[in-house]
Amino acid sequence: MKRTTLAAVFGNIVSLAAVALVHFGIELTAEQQAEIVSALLVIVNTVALIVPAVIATVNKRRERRVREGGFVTLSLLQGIALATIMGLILTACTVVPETPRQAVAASYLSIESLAQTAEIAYRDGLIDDARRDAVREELQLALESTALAQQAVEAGQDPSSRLEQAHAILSALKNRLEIEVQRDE
Amino acid sequence: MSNAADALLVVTRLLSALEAAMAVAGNAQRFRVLVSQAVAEGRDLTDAELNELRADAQAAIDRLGG
Repeated sequence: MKRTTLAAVFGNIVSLAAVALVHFGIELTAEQQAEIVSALLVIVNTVALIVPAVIATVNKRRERRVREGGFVTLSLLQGIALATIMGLILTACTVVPETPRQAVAASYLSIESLAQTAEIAYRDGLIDDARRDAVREELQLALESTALAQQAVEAGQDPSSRLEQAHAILSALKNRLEIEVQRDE
Repeated sequence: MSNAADALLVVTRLLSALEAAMAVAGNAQRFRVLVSQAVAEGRDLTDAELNELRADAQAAIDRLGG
């Protein structure tokens, strides 16, 4: 169903509900009704994204044999990687770094996000010790490059090359996670 | 494995993914707030703010080490 059609359907439902609520002494303004419709659309879109992924994962799970000592649920790891990348994109799209200092800040936050994501993946048994250690080392390299970029900024120099180094490390890390996902599946 | 176990497994995995997504979203929001405050005050990000971000990133890496 198209978003506009869905919005119209929700709008009619909310309008009818608003009329009914008047009998109970509850009045909804037009703005409140619009907010309710927006919230319903967000919920429906979110469910529409999650449900097919859940169904697909369950079907894959039935075909996949359990590995001794646990299993690597790379579909979730892929989801985590995707969520991280989406977060990075979200950060870039919502507030694009306009100054070198903002670019340095964005790099630090991206590193922190990836570290938190990897911590969750390791905690839940999605990556082993070796992979965790490798991720930590690469993140440390990215952090050092970003710190050098910060020093360049403070010295009035161009930090671009250092920031590009950090970005390349983070991108390569993301790509390796995706390769691992594809290899397992 | 039973369907119920599969479903529980999937829910657990999704919760982990959501937790990761929330962490990322939280950092994205932190960036927006920092930049918004700086812009509102007519300045760029300060050395102290960048140092704090660096320290937090280092702390996250250190936690990853166990």
